[in-house]
Parts: sequence; structure tokens; C-alpha cells
Amino acid sequence: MKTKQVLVRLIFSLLTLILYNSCKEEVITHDIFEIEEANPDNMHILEIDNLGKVYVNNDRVNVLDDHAQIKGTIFSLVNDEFVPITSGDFSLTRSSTDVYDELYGYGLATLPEIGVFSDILTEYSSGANFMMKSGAAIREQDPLAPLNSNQNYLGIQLDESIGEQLRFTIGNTSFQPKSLYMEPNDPMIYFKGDIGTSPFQIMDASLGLSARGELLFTPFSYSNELSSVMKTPLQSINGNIYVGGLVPIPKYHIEVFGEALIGFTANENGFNAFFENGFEGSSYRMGVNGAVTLTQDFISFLPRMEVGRATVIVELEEEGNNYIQVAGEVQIQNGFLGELLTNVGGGTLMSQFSMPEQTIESYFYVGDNTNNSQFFIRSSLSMTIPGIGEQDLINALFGVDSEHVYIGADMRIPGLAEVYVNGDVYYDGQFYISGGTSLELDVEVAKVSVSFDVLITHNGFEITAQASGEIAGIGFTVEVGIIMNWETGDMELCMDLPSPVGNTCIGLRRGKQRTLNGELYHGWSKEDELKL
Amino acid sequence: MKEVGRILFPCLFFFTLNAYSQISVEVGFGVGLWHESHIVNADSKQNPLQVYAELGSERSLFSMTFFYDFKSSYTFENYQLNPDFYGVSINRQLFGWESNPIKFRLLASAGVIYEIHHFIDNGNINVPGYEFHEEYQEGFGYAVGVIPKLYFKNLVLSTQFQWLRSNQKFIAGQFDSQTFQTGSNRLVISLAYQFIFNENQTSTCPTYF
Repeated sequence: MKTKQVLVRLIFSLLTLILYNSCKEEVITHDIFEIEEANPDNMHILEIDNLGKVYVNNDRVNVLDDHAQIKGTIFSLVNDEFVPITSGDFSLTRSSTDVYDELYGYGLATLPEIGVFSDILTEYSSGANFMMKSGAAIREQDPLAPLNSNQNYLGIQLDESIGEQLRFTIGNTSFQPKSLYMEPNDPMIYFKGDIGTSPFQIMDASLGLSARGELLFTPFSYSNELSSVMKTPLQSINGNIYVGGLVPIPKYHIEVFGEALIGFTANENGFNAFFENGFEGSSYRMGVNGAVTLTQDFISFLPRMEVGRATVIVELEEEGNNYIQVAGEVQIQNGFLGELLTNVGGGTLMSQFSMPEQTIESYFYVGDNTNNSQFFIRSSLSMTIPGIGEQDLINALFGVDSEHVYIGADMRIPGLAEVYVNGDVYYDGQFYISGGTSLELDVEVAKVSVSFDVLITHNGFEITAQASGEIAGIGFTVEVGIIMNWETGDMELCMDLPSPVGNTCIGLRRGKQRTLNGELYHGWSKEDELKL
Repeated sequence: MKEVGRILFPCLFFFTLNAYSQISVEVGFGVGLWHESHIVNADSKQNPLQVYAELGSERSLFSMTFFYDFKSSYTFENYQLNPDFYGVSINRQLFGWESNPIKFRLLASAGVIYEIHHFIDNGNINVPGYEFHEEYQEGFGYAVGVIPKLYFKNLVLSTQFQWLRSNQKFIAGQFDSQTFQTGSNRLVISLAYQFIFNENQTSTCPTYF
């Protein structure tokens, strides 16, 4: 009986213990990766160096002397609206001031859901490592990134342990980013990755979206010759949508690189009207860079060669500062044929030569400010010749601007002859056209140089012929010229005769009463009158 | 003195052997039918499995059990707790009834457990690279319970009501770690086989003693 009582008590006690609910305890947990609702009345502001202010619900931040820790959602303030940027576990460090120098951590890779960003669907939400990077540091790795060097950005490195990659889709186009950068207060995102859209796949494509239009388009740089003729140099512009990418076309062994930036008008808040209203009523600006490169897969020992590049900048504004600016450079480099012959033939002679290389440069500007309007095109053919170096063989240029039309062409046979013609025609009726040829003869008994030049202007004309050299050890110089002034009717004939006669001229001048006076004197007198 | 020791120690040895003759070893495998975490609002996601070995004697009311519980898991909010534990307990028979070949025993048990906890952030977001995506803690706890057992020859059907108590520290999305009561209540039903050694042997002191 005693045993039974003990037994019953024990069982009763144990069952009570098991079922007694007070043994259960409550814990407080938080899903730091779940986007929170912003509590505007209870937000903590953290200012980050060159990145701006970010906002966190008060209970999700722990601020200490030299650092702060965020475990929750980071917001930015866009148009007086708190926009979630990411959510996760982040640390911020600071040295002394209230401004934090560094932000890093692990968070959710997502896009700010505002404006046009809302139309981008994020597939396979995933975590990512966050770190702060300057635009300059990003451009060291990605020179074409449309980012401001002085600005800091949030670098988002996708979690590599996730098999399924993060993917964004807009309509039928999907983006699979490899690297992602964000500026939370714009907000702006820029990423590089692969873009897939039927039937094309663009590798290493770049896409940038900026609500306030802070993406930066940098035009290509061009040769000094072309840059020097631009009355309005190509300048960087800011914009909202950036797309860039490299499309390989293996069939023709070329790669086509292109990048474009489009910008729209900002509204009074600085937030871009396009992101609120679409294209309606938006004036815009656009910059496009394009380049074609011959790839190495055609013949492995040949270097990659850029065949040509071009830049177009367009700005259309309601307030009348419209312009279109185009610059281009095409290099038809036949040098690879020389390389090919050298390598295939194994000869050393071919390596001394290069095949002719043709360069075409052009520039075009049309705008409301007609003073800056300009068209220019230059074509040149050059070749490397053993013992002489690179020689221009043919140069031709044509230009039109708000003041005049100009042309120029010259053709050279190095060491032998040259022919040239240049002309400037001004809209006020003035013109200046010159042309000439020169010939050099170097044989055993004689060395002779002969030149013939013609200059025709709105004032008159000038013709000069010169010969100099040495025949059988006797040097000589002969120059004959004639100058005619249309307006005055004056004419001058000069000859540069051997010493002691020297330069001797005969001048014929028409007097006020249409009389003709002649005189003999030394030295040209009217030459300068013909120059513009 | 040496002579006394030479005679006494063998005698003690044989006495002990005699007391623990008819040694039984029970080996079983069990499945949790019901379990409940000590964390409020935690849902039982996956029932535990258990293997155990019980060492006892037909002549003693006491026995010792070594057990390993695994595969149980609990979820609450976006987290999942996976506790595995090793344990050793001392059992005392409270009640016994026997009608050959059927036996019934009711045991009370108390013991020590060593727990290994995996605490996983299992939210909708895929965050395997996060430092605290999976927190790992291990440590000691204790366990008490009652174990009704039904024997048919050497086959054993065992039902264990266990109360496991332990606590561990986890971050769980907070700034500092907090203590979690990682214990649980559980009901495990097991099927076992009992091996009995030296069933008919009785040890005595040497005849010369």
C-alpha cells in the first residue's frame, strides 16, 4: 500500500511537471531580412560620408560611441517618402564626427520600390554582402561605369553560396547581375551582368537607373586633330537610364560595344518627372557611344583592334537649348594583313612595312545656337615606310561652320612630290583658296627642288614658282611670281634673280584716273594684301 | 593484512557479480508521437527519433539507459530549432507485474543530457551566407520521465514520457544573445529487444572461504 501511494504520487508529480505550461518561456526574435514598415515618428537618422542620410526604425538600431549596428530595414527618404533600400544586419563605423565613414554588412539584395523601379520584378530574392565603395574605386574595375568618382555607393555582392542567381525582369527581358551598386538617396542602381532577351544575349551588359538623373555619360575621347577643330567640345552629361553592353558577332569576328544614357527633365523636387509621368511632357538628353572591335579569335597572334568609334549627344529642351553633336572616328587598319604575311611567310621584310591605314574622322554639331553649328570630316591615308617612318600619303578634309566652309586636300609621295589644295569660303563673300605642287629630284649630277603655288582670294590672286638646287656643283635659286589685285587692278611681277641682281619687281598700278603707272623696285609689296 | 586482502577482494568481487547476475541489455529504436518545445508559440515540425540501450539486471530495481534523440525540429516565426541530444539516465522501477511470458514494468527516470542545437534563420529570403544564418550551441541539460514498458518474452514495447530541460543562447535577430529554453516535453514509443545474460547462473564465494 505504501509503495502504491509513492508510485501514484510520483506519476502525478511528473505528469504535472510535463503538462505545466509555466515551464514554457517566451523569446523575442526578429526577422531582420523582412522589409519593415517605416515608422516616421520614430526613426533614427544616420548620415554616411558622401552617401547621404539613411533612416532606420529606432528599435532596429543600436548606436554606440564609435559605431552603430542596424538589424532591420534601411530606408532612404525620396520625395518625403520612406523607401526601403535593404534589410539585414549592418555595421557603421565612425572616427569622431557624427558622420559615419563606413557601412558594411549582409542584407537583402532588392530594388527600391518606387517609380519605374516598381516595374522591375525581382526573382529569387537573396542575400548579399554590402560594402561602401567610391565611384572612383568602382571605375578602376569597370572604367565605363556611369558613376560619379566623388560619390560613395553601396556595393552589393551577391551571396555566392546561392545556386540560383538573383534575376530582375522588365517585361520579357531578364537581367542577371554579377555586381550591383546603389545610391540610396537618388535612388540609383547600376549593375553589370548578362541581359537575356529573345533572341539576343548581351554579355557583360550594364544597366543603370537613376530617379534624379545622376548617372554620368562620358563621351569617348578622340584624336587631337579632331578634338582641336571642335568648336563645342564633347562634354559629359547626366541622365536617368543607362544601358551598355558588348555584343559579340563571332561570324564576322567583331564585337560591337555600345552604351547609351538618356536623361529627362527633373521636376521641382529634383525627382525626375519621367519616373512619375513617363515620357509625357518630358524633354530629354541622350548620349551614345559606340565602337567596333576586331576580335582575336580570327587569328590568334593578331592584337585586338578597334575599327571605329562614334559618339552622339542630343539635348532637346523646351526652353530652347537644343543641339545634336556627333563625332566619329573610323580606322581602316590594314596592318593586320602585314602581320599575317609576316607570320605566315616568315619573312622579315614584311615586318618593316605596314599596310596603308586609312582614318576617317568626322564631327557634326547642330543647335539652336547657330554660332556653334559645325560639320567636319577628315580622311587620311598613312603608311610606315622603312627608314622614313610613318608618312601621311593623302589627307582630305571638309568643314562647314557658322562662319565659313573649308576644304583641304594634299597628297604626298614621300621624298618626291606633294600636291595640295586648301580653301576657306566665308559667308560674307571672302574666300581664300590655295593650291600647289612641289617636286624634288635628286640624281647623281643634280639636286633640284621645284615648287608651284597658286593663291586665289576675293582680293586677287598670286602665282609663284620657285626652283632651287645644285647642278654640277653650282647652286642656284630662281623665283618668279605674279600678284594681281582685283579691286585696285594693281599687278606686280617679281623675279628673284641670282646675286647681285636679287629680288626685282615690276609694279603696274592703276591710278585714280585709270592711268597705268609702272615702276621697278626690289621686294614684293602687295603680297600681304591678298592674305586674309 | 596481505592475506586478509587476498581473501576479501575476491569475495567482494563474487558478491557483486552475484548481485548483478542475470544482466540484461535492452536495445531499442523509437519514434516520437508527440513533442512540444518549451519556447512559446513554437510549432513542432518534425518528430524525434530515438535509439537507446538500457543496462539492467533482473535482480535489481535500478537500470541505466543511454539514449540518442535526433531529427526533432521546432519552428517559430522565421526560425527553426533542431536539437539533437545524447543522454544517460538512471531508472528506478516503481511498479512491476508479471504473468509469464508477459511482464509490465513502470520506471521513473532522471538523467543528464548533452544537447547540440542548430538554430536556423529559415525565412522566405535566401540568406545562406549570413553570419548568423545558422547558430550553433551545445551544452548540458537534464531529463526526467516515466517509462511504462510491456514485455513479451524478449520483445519490449516502451513508452517514454520525457521532460527535457536545458537552455542556450542565440542572437535570433537581436543585438545581444538571449537565453532560449531549448528543452521540450515528448512522448516516444519504442520497440526494443532485451538480451539477458547468465540467466540461470548464481555466483558464490570460493569454497575455501
